[in-house]
Amino acid sequence: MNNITNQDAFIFMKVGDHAGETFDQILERKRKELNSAGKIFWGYGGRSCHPIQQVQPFVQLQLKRHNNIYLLMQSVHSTADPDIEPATEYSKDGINWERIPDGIEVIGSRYALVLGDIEPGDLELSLENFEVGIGPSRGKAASKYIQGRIDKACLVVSENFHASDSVQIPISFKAPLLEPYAVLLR
Amino acid sequence: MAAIDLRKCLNAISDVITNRPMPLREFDQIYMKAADMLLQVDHVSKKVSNRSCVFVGDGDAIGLCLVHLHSLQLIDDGPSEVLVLDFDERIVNGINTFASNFGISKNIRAELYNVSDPVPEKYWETFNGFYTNPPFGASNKGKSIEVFLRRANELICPGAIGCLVLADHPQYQWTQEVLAVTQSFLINNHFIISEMVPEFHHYHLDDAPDLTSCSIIVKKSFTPNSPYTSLPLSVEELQDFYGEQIPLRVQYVKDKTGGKYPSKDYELIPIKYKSK
Repeated sequence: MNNITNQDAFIFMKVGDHAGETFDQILERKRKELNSAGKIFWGYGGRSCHPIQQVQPFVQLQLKRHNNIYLLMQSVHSTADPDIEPATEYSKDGINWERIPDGIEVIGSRYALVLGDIEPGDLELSLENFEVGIGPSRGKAASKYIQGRIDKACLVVSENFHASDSVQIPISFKAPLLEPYAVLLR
Repeated sequence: MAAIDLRKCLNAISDVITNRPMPLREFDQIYMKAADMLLQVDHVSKKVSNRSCVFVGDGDAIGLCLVHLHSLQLIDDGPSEVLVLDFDERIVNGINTFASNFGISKNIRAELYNVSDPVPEKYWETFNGFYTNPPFGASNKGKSIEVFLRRANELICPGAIGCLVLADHPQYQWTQEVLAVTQSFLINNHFIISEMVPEFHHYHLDDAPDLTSCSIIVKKSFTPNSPYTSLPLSVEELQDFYGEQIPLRVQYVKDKTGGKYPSKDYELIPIKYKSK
Protein backbone atom coordinates (compact mmCIF):
# COMPACT_ATOMS: atom_id res chain seq x y z
CA MET A 1 0.00 0.00 0.00
CA ASN A 2 1.03 3.58 -0.58
CA ASN A 3 1.16 6.06 2.24
CA ILE A 4 -1.02 9.03 1.56
CA THR A 5 1.47 11.78 2.21
CA ASN A 6 0.71 13.37 -1.17
CA GLN A 7 -2.89 14.07 -0.12
CA ASP A 8 -2.83 16.88 2.42
CA ALA A 9 -6.49 17.96 2.01
CA PHE A 10 -9.39 15.61 1.39
CA ILE A 11 -12.81 14.48 2.56
CA PHE A 12 -12.80 11.33 4.64
CA MET A 13 -15.84 9.10 4.97
CA LYS A 14 -16.61 5.70 6.41
CA VAL A 15 -18.76 3.74 3.95
CA GLY A 16 -20.66 0.48 3.97
CA ASP A 17 -23.97 -1.19 3.24
CA HIS A 18 -26.87 1.25 3.05
CA ALA A 19 -30.61 1.22 2.49
CA GLY A 20 -30.79 -2.50 1.75
CA GLU A 21 -27.86 -2.57 -0.69
CA THR A 22 -24.45 -4.09 -0.08
CA PHE A 23 -21.51 -1.79 -0.61
CA ASP A 24 -20.54 -3.73 -3.74
CA GLN A 25 -24.04 -3.27 -5.14
CA ILE A 26 -23.86 0.46 -4.40
CA LEU A 27 -20.49 0.71 -6.17
CA GLU A 28 -21.79 -1.10 -9.22
CA ARG A 29 -24.85 1.16 -9.39
CA LYS A 30 -22.75 4.28 -8.92
CA ARG A 31 -20.36 3.31 -11.73
CA LYS A 32 -23.37 2.94 -14.04
CA GLU A 33 -24.41 6.44 -12.95
CA LEU A 34 -21.04 7.77 -14.04
CA ASN A 35 -21.44 6.16 -17.45
CA SER A 36 -24.91 7.56 -18.03
CA ALA A 37 -24.77 10.92 -16.24
CA GLY A 38 -21.05 11.76 -16.26
CA LYS A 39 -20.99 12.09 -12.47
CA ILE A 40 -21.94 10.29 -9.32
CA PHE A 41 -24.15 11.55 -6.49
CA TRP A 42 -22.76 9.92 -3.35
CA GLY A 43 -25.50 10.25 -0.73
CA TYR A 44 -24.83 10.90 2.92
CA GLY A 45 -26.44 12.37 6.01
CA GLY A 46 -25.59 13.44 9.53
CA ARG A 47 -24.53 16.80 10.90
CA SER A 48 -20.91 16.99 9.73
CA CYS A 49 -19.87 17.91 6.17
CA HIS A 50 -22.85 20.15 5.45
CA PRO A 51 -22.75 20.84 1.67
CA ILE A 52 -23.08 24.63 1.88
CA GLN A 53 -21.45 25.36 5.23
CA GLN A 54 -18.51 22.98 4.93
CA VAL A 55 -17.90 20.90 1.79
CA GLN A 56 -18.31 23.57 -0.89
CA PRO A 57 -16.18 26.26 0.84
CA PHE A 58 -13.60 23.67 1.91
CA VAL A 59 -13.13 22.35 -1.62
CA GLN A 60 -13.10 25.83 -3.16
CA LEU A 61 -10.40 26.97 -0.74
CA GLN A 62 -8.29 23.84 -1.20
CA LEU A 63 -8.54 23.97 -4.99
CA LYS A 64 -6.45 27.15 -4.83
CA ARG A 65 -3.55 24.89 -3.85
CA HIS A 66 -4.47 21.55 -5.42
CA ASN A 67 -5.66 20.31 -8.78
CA ASN A 68 -8.16 17.88 -7.30
CA ILE A 69 -9.75 17.18 -3.98
CA TYR A 70 -10.62 13.56 -3.29
CA LEU A 71 -13.13 11.69 -1.22
CA LEU A 72 -11.24 8.93 0.58
CA MET A 73 -13.43 6.06 1.74
CA GLN A 74 -12.83 3.60 4.52
CA SER A 75 -15.02 0.49 4.22
CA VAL A 76 -16.68 -0.45 7.48
CA HIS A 77 -19.50 -2.75 8.50
CA SER A 78 -22.72 -0.75 8.35
CA THR A 79 -26.35 -1.58 8.93
CA ALA A 80 -27.80 1.76 7.88
CA ASP A 81 -31.17 0.92 6.39
CA PRO A 82 -33.35 4.02 6.09
CA ASP A 83 -36.70 3.48 4.45
CA ILE A 84 -36.98 6.69 2.46
CA GLU A 85 -38.00 7.36 -1.11
CA PRO A 86 -35.30 8.32 -3.63
CA ALA A 87 -34.53 12.04 -3.88
CA THR A 88 -36.11 13.74 -6.87
CA GLU A 89 -34.40 17.15 -6.72
CA TYR A 90 -31.03 18.59 -5.76
CA SER A 91 -29.70 22.05 -5.02
CA LYS A 92 -26.24 23.50 -4.59
CA ASP A 93 -27.47 26.58 -2.71
CA GLY A 94 -30.80 25.63 -1.10
CA ILE A 95 -32.58 28.22 -3.26
CA ASN A 96 -32.59 26.84 -6.79
CA TRP A 97 -33.66 23.20 -7.14
CA GLU A 98 -33.22 20.98 -10.19
CA ARG A 99 -34.38 17.51 -11.06
CA ILE A 100 -31.96 14.74 -10.25
CA PRO A 101 -30.21 13.98 -13.59
CA ASP A 102 -31.39 10.93 -15.53
CA GLY A 103 -29.46 7.84 -14.58
CA ILE A 104 -28.72 8.97 -11.02
CA GLU A 105 -30.52 7.52 -8.01
CA VAL A 106 -29.86 8.63 -4.43
CA ILE A 107 -31.71 6.82 -1.69
CA GLY A 108 -32.18 7.72 1.95
CA SER A 109 -29.82 10.70 2.04
CA ARG A 110 -30.16 14.41 2.82
CA TYR A 111 -27.00 15.39 0.99
CA ALA A 112 -24.73 14.08 -1.76
CA LEU A 113 -21.12 14.54 -2.74
CA VAL A 114 -20.66 14.96 -6.49
CA LEU A 115 -17.95 12.59 -7.64
CA GLY A 116 -16.06 11.39 -10.67
CA ASP A 117 -14.84 7.82 -11.11
CA ILE A 118 -14.55 5.75 -7.95
CA GLU A 119 -11.25 3.86 -8.00
CA PRO A 120 -9.77 1.32 -5.61
CA GLY A 121 -7.83 3.27 -3.00
CA ASP A 122 -4.79 1.11 -2.26
CA LEU A 123 -3.78 3.72 0.29
CA GLU A 124 -3.55 4.05 4.00
CA LEU A 125 -3.42 6.98 6.38
CA SER A 126 -3.11 7.77 10.04
CA LEU A 127 -5.85 10.08 11.31
CA GLU A 128 -3.43 11.40 13.92
CA ASN A 129 -1.64 13.29 11.17
CA PHE A 130 -4.71 15.23 10.07
CA GLU A 131 -7.08 17.76 11.54
CA VAL A 132 -10.52 19.20 10.76
CA GLY A 133 -10.17 21.86 8.06
CA ILE A 134 -13.43 23.82 8.37
CA GLY A 135 -16.38 24.46 10.67
CA PRO A 136 -16.65 24.78 14.43
CA SER A 137 -14.20 21.93 15.03
CA ARG A 138 -11.54 23.43 12.76
CA GLY A 139 -8.11 22.45 14.07
CA LYS A 140 -9.33 19.47 16.08
CA ALA A 141 -7.32 16.26 15.58
CA ALA A 142 -9.09 13.96 13.13
CA SER A 143 -8.43 10.97 15.38
CA LYS A 144 -10.46 12.66 18.14
CA TYR A 145 -13.09 14.11 15.82
CA ILE A 146 -14.03 10.95 13.94
CA GLN A 147 -15.65 9.07 16.78
CA GLY A 148 -19.12 7.82 17.59
CA ARG A 149 -21.70 9.27 15.26
CA ILE A 150 -19.13 11.36 13.37
CA ASP A 151 -18.00 9.25 10.43
CA LYS A 152 -16.91 11.86 7.91
CA ALA A 153 -14.89 15.07 7.84
CA CYS A 154 -13.12 17.67 5.71
CA LEU A 155 -9.50 17.12 6.70
CA VAL A 156 -6.16 18.84 6.17
CA VAL A 157 -2.72 17.68 7.12
CA SER A 158 -1.66 18.71 10.60
CA GLU A 159 1.27 21.08 11.05
CA ASN A 160 2.71 18.38 13.28
CA PHE A 161 2.60 15.80 10.49
CA HIS A 162 5.01 12.95 10.96
CA ALA A 163 5.21 9.50 9.49
CA SER A 164 3.98 7.75 12.57
CA ASP A 165 3.79 4.17 13.70
CA SER A 166 0.22 4.75 14.85
CA VAL A 167 -2.78 2.90 13.48
CA GLN A 168 -2.97 3.09 9.71
CA ILE A 169 -6.46 3.15 8.23
CA PRO A 170 -6.87 1.43 4.87
CA ILE A 171 -8.51 3.59 2.22
CA SER A 172 -10.50 1.19 0.09
CA PHE A 173 -11.72 3.62 -2.54
CA LYS A 174 -11.17 7.16 -3.65
CA ALA A 175 -12.95 9.53 -6.03
CA PRO A 176 -12.36 13.14 -7.15
CA LEU A 177 -14.97 15.73 -6.27
CA LEU A 178 -16.61 17.46 -9.22
CA GLU A 179 -18.42 20.80 -9.27
CA PRO A 180 -20.52 21.75 -7.33
CA TYR A 181 -18.82 19.25 -4.96
CA ALA A 182 -21.81 18.73 -2.65
CA VAL A 183 -25.55 19.28 -2.92
CA LEU A 184 -28.72 19.23 -0.84
CA LEU A 185 -31.35 16.63 -1.75
CA ARG A 186 -35.12 16.42 -1.38
CA MET B 1 -29.54 31.25 40.70
CA ALA B 2 -32.07 32.54 43.20
CA ALA B 3 -34.73 30.15 44.41
CA ILE B 4 -36.95 29.18 41.52
CA ASP B 5 -39.40 26.38 40.93
CA LEU B 6 -37.20 24.20 38.75
CA ARG B 7 -40.01 21.98 37.47
CA LYS B 8 -42.28 24.87 36.53
CA CYS B 9 -39.41 26.77 34.93
CA LEU B 10 -38.22 23.84 32.85
CA ASN B 11 -41.77 23.02 31.80
CA ALA B 12 -42.23 26.64 30.69
CA ILE B 13 -38.97 26.44 28.74
CA SER B 14 -40.30 23.20 27.26
CA ASP B 15 -43.39 25.08 26.05
CA VAL B 16 -41.08 27.36 24.11
CA ILE B 17 -38.83 24.61 22.79
CA THR B 18 -41.70 22.60 21.32
CA ASN B 19 -42.86 25.74 19.55
CA ARG B 20 -39.56 26.29 17.71
CA PRO B 21 -39.04 25.23 14.09
CA MET B 22 -36.39 22.71 13.09
CA PRO B 23 -33.00 24.43 13.01
CA LEU B 24 -31.41 24.86 9.60
CA ARG B 25 -27.71 24.12 9.64
CA GLU B 26 -27.37 26.05 6.35
CA PHE B 27 -27.68 29.19 8.44
CA ASP B 28 -25.80 28.07 11.55
CA GLN B 29 -29.09 27.66 13.41
CA ILE B 30 -27.85 25.50 16.28
CA TYR B 31 -30.00 25.30 19.37
CA MET B 32 -28.84 25.76 22.94
CA LYS B 33 -29.59 22.92 25.34
CA ALA B 34 -32.61 23.29 27.59
CA ALA B 35 -30.99 23.59 31.01
CA ASP B 36 -28.57 26.20 29.68
CA MET B 37 -31.50 28.15 28.27
CA LEU B 38 -32.95 28.39 31.77
CA LEU B 39 -29.62 29.47 33.24
CA GLN B 40 -29.24 32.06 30.48
CA VAL B 41 -32.77 33.38 31.02
CA ASP B 42 -32.18 33.72 34.76
CA HIS B 43 -28.85 35.45 34.09
CA VAL B 44 -30.16 37.90 31.49
CA SER B 45 -33.49 38.65 33.13
CA LYS B 46 -31.84 40.74 35.83
CA LYS B 47 -29.80 42.72 33.31
CA VAL B 48 -32.73 43.66 31.09
CA SER B 49 -35.26 44.19 33.86
CA ASN B 50 -37.90 46.73 32.79
CA ARG B 51 -35.99 47.51 29.62
CA SER B 52 -37.33 47.70 26.09
CA CYS B 53 -35.27 45.09 24.29
CA VAL B 54 -34.53 44.25 20.70
CA PHE B 55 -33.29 40.79 19.78
CA VAL B 56 -31.21 40.80 16.59
CA GLY B 57 -31.99 37.22 15.60
CA ASP B 58 -33.24 34.76 18.20
CA GLY B 59 -33.33 31.17 17.00
CA ASP B 60 -32.95 29.91 20.55
CA ALA B 61 -36.09 31.84 21.57
CA ILE B 62 -34.48 33.33 24.68
CA GLY B 63 -36.66 36.43 24.24
CA LEU B 64 -39.79 34.30 24.32
CA CYS B 65 -38.50 32.42 27.38
CA LEU B 66 -37.82 35.69 29.20
CA VAL B 67 -41.30 37.03 28.60
CA HIS B 68 -43.07 33.70 29.11
CA LEU B 69 -41.38 32.89 32.43
CA HIS B 70 -41.79 36.44 33.67
CA SER B 71 -45.49 36.50 32.78
CA LEU B 72 -45.92 33.23 34.68
CA GLN B 73 -44.13 34.88 37.63
CA LEU B 74 -41.49 32.15 37.57
CA ILE B 75 -38.71 34.74 37.48
CA ASP B 76 -38.77 38.06 39.29
CA ASP B 77 -37.32 40.22 36.52
CA GLY B 78 -38.01 40.63 32.85
CA PRO B 79 -37.99 43.14 30.02
CA SER B 80 -40.86 45.59 29.65
CA GLU B 81 -41.16 44.66 25.99
CA VAL B 82 -39.31 42.57 23.42
CA LEU B 83 -39.04 42.95 19.65
CA VAL B 84 -37.43 40.01 17.86
CA LEU B 85 -36.04 40.71 14.39
CA ASP B 86 -35.25 37.55 12.43
CA PHE B 87 -34.91 36.59 8.76
CA ASP B 88 -36.63 33.23 9.34
CA GLU B 89 -40.39 33.58 8.98
CA ARG B 90 -40.86 30.26 10.77
CA ILE B 91 -39.27 31.82 13.86
CA VAL B 92 -41.24 35.06 13.46
CA ASN B 93 -44.55 33.22 13.07
CA GLY B 94 -43.69 30.86 15.91
CA ILE B 95 -43.07 33.73 18.33
CA ASN B 96 -46.18 35.69 17.34
CA THR B 97 -48.41 32.60 17.48
CA PHE B 98 -47.02 31.57 20.86
CA ALA B 99 -47.44 35.11 22.19
CA SER B 100 -51.04 35.17 21.02
CA ASN B 101 -51.80 31.76 22.53
CA PHE B 102 -50.32 32.69 25.90
CA GLY B 103 -51.71 36.23 25.99
CA ILE B 104 -48.34 37.97 25.98
CA SER B 105 -48.58 39.75 22.61
CA LYS B 106 -48.35 43.12 24.36
CA ASN B 107 -44.96 42.13 25.70
CA ILE B 108 -43.32 40.41 22.74
CA ARG B 109 -43.64 40.50 18.99
CA ALA B 110 -41.46 39.46 16.07
CA GLU B 111 -40.85 40.96 12.63
CA LEU B 112 -39.12 39.72 9.52
CA TYR B 113 -35.76 41.42 9.03
CA ASN B 114 -32.42 40.46 7.50
CA VAL B 115 -29.28 42.09 8.87
CA SER B 116 -28.11 42.67 5.30
CA ASP B 117 -30.76 45.41 5.10
CA PRO B 118 -30.71 48.80 6.81
CA VAL B 119 -32.57 48.74 10.12
CA PRO B 120 -36.15 50.07 9.89
CA GLU B 121 -35.97 53.83 10.45
CA LYS B 122 -38.77 53.72 13.03
CA TYR B 123 -36.52 51.64 15.29
CA TRP B 124 -33.36 53.75 14.95
CA GLU B 125 -31.76 54.19 18.41
CA THR B 126 -35.05 53.24 20.08
CA PHE B 127 -34.34 50.39 22.51
CA ASN B 128 -32.48 50.45 25.80
CA GLY B 129 -31.61 46.76 25.75
CA PHE B 130 -30.44 44.29 23.12
CA TYR B 131 -29.58 40.63 22.77
CA THR B 132 -27.81 38.79 19.98
CA ASN B 133 -26.46 35.30 19.42
CA PRO B 134 -24.97 35.67 15.93
CA PRO B 135 -23.28 33.08 13.71
CA PHE B 136 -20.10 32.28 15.60
CA GLY B 137 -17.71 33.41 12.87
CA ALA B 138 -15.46 30.35 13.05
CA SER B 139 -13.71 31.08 9.78
CA ASN B 140 -14.43 34.74 9.05
CA LYS B 141 -12.58 36.29 11.99
CA GLY B 142 -15.83 37.33 13.66
CA LYS B 143 -17.15 39.38 10.74
CA SER B 144 -20.65 37.93 11.15
CA ILE B 145 -20.64 38.99 14.80
CA GLU B 146 -19.63 42.53 13.86
CA VAL B 147 -22.56 42.76 11.46
CA PHE B 148 -25.10 41.74 14.10
CA LEU B 149 -23.48 44.05 16.65
CA ARG B 150 -23.51 46.93 14.20
CA ARG B 151 -27.24 46.47 13.66
CA ALA B 152 -27.83 46.22 17.41
CA ASN B 153 -25.83 49.42 17.86
CA GLU B 154 -28.11 51.17 15.37
CA LEU B 155 -31.20 50.06 17.26
CA ILE B 156 -30.23 51.07 20.79
CA CYS B 157 -30.08 54.36 22.56
CA PRO B 158 -27.19 55.68 24.70
CA GLY B 159 -26.93 53.88 28.03
CA ALA B 160 -28.46 50.67 26.71
CA ILE B 161 -27.51 47.28 28.15
CA GLY B 162 -26.77 44.39 25.81
CA CYS B 163 -26.05 40.68 25.91
CA LEU B 164 -23.94 38.77 23.40
CA VAL B 165 -23.71 35.00 23.21
CA LEU B 166 -20.46 34.00 21.50
CA ALA B 167 -18.48 30.79 21.10
CA ASP B 168 -15.99 30.32 23.93
CA HIS B 169 -14.00 27.18 24.54
CA PRO B 170 -10.26 27.08 25.37
CA GLN B 171 -9.67 24.02 23.18
CA TYR B 172 -11.14 25.73 20.12
CA GLN B 173 -8.48 28.32 19.33
CA TRP B 174 -10.69 30.17 16.84
CA THR B 175 -13.18 31.02 19.59
CA GLN B 176 -10.49 32.87 21.53
CA GLU B 177 -9.35 34.75 18.42
CA VAL B 178 -12.92 35.76 17.59
CA LEU B 179 -13.56 36.86 21.20
CA ALA B 180 -10.48 39.08 21.10
CA VAL B 181 -11.54 40.69 17.82
CA THR B 182 -15.09 41.20 19.10
CA GLN B 183 -13.94 42.81 22.32
CA SER B 184 -11.84 45.27 20.31
CA PHE B 185 -14.86 46.04 18.15
CA LEU B 186 -16.99 46.66 21.25
CA ILE B 187 -14.48 49.02 22.82
CA ASN B 188 -13.98 50.91 19.55
CA ASN B 189 -17.74 51.41 19.33
CA HIS B 190 -18.15 52.91 22.79
CA PHE B 191 -19.30 49.79 24.63
CA ILE B 192 -18.11 48.91 28.11
CA ILE B 193 -17.81 45.19 28.81
CA SER B 194 -19.27 44.84 32.27
CA GLU B 195 -19.54 41.08 32.71
CA MET B 196 -18.64 37.79 31.10
CA VAL B 197 -19.76 34.29 32.06
CA PRO B 198 -17.29 32.02 30.23
CA GLU B 199 -18.08 28.57 28.77
CA PHE B 200 -21.66 28.94 29.90
CA HIS B 201 -23.86 27.14 27.35
CA HIS B 202 -23.86 23.85 25.44
CA TYR B 203 -25.47 23.09 22.08
CA HIS B 204 -27.14 20.40 20.03
CA LEU B 205 -24.13 20.27 17.71
CA ASP B 206 -23.15 16.74 16.73
CA ASP B 207 -19.82 17.59 15.15
CA ALA B 208 -18.64 19.78 18.04
CA PRO B 209 -20.65 18.53 21.04
CA ASP B 210 -18.26 20.00 23.60
CA LEU B 211 -18.28 23.50 22.10
CA THR B 212 -19.52 26.09 24.59
CA SER B 213 -20.47 29.74 24.42
CA CYS B 214 -20.14 32.61 26.83
CA SER B 215 -22.53 35.36 27.84
CA ILE B 216 -21.08 38.88 27.62
CA ILE B 217 -22.92 41.84 29.12
CA VAL B 218 -22.10 45.26 27.66
CA LYS B 219 -23.23 48.79 28.31
CA LYS B 220 -23.38 51.48 25.64
CA SER B 221 -21.74 54.68 26.82
CA PHE B 222 -23.74 57.89 26.84
CA THR B 223 -22.84 59.07 23.35
CA PRO B 224 -25.17 61.61 21.74
CA ASN B 225 -28.03 60.41 19.55
CA SER B 226 -27.26 60.54 15.84
CA PRO B 227 -29.32 60.96 12.66
CA TYR B 228 -30.46 57.87 10.74
CA THR B 229 -27.62 56.48 8.64
CA SER B 230 -28.25 52.73 8.41
CA LEU B 231 -26.93 51.22 5.16
CA PRO B 232 -27.25 47.82 3.46
CA LEU B 233 -24.32 45.45 3.72
CA SER B 234 -21.82 45.68 0.89
CA VAL B 235 -21.21 42.82 -1.56
CA GLU B 236 -17.87 42.22 0.16
CA GLU B 237 -19.57 41.92 3.56
CA LEU B 238 -22.07 39.40 2.17
CA GLN B 239 -19.35 37.27 0.59
CA ASP B 240 -17.85 35.75 3.75
CA PHE B 241 -20.89 36.24 5.95
CA TYR B 242 -21.04 32.71 7.41
CA GLY B 243 -17.32 32.04 6.95
CA GLU B 244 -14.66 32.18 4.29
CA GLN B 245 -16.30 31.35 0.95
CA ILE B 246 -19.72 30.96 2.64
CA PRO B 247 -21.82 33.93 1.46
CA LEU B 248 -25.21 35.12 2.66
CA ARG B 249 -27.44 34.34 -0.32
CA VAL B 250 -30.85 34.18 1.32
CA GLN B 251 -33.06 37.17 2.08
CA TYR B 252 -35.68 35.32 4.10
CA VAL B 253 -36.63 31.79 5.07
CA LYS B 254 -40.28 31.56 4.02
CA ASP B 255 -42.72 29.73 6.30
CA LYS B 256 -44.81 27.74 3.84
CA THR B 257 -47.22 26.56 6.50
CA GLY B 258 -47.86 29.84 8.27
CA GLY B 259 -48.42 27.58 11.24
CA LYS B 260 -51.82 26.73 9.81
CA TYR B 261 -51.26 23.91 7.36
CA PRO B 262 -50.08 20.34 7.92
CA SER B 263 -46.38 19.66 7.62
CA LYS B 264 -45.19 18.21 4.33
CA ASP B 265 -42.64 16.07 6.15
CA TYR B 266 -44.96 13.12 6.55
CA GLU B 267 -47.74 11.25 4.81
CA LEU B 268 -50.63 9.38 6.39
CA ILE B 269 -51.06 5.78 5.20
CA PRO B 270 -54.68 4.58 5.74
CA ILE B 271 -55.57 1.20 7.25
CA LYS B 272 -56.56 -1.28 4.58
CA TYR B 273 -59.69 -2.99 5.94
CA LYS B 274 -60.02 -6.61 4.97
CA SER B 275 -63.46 -8.25 4.96
CA LYS B 276 -63.61 -11.74 6.49
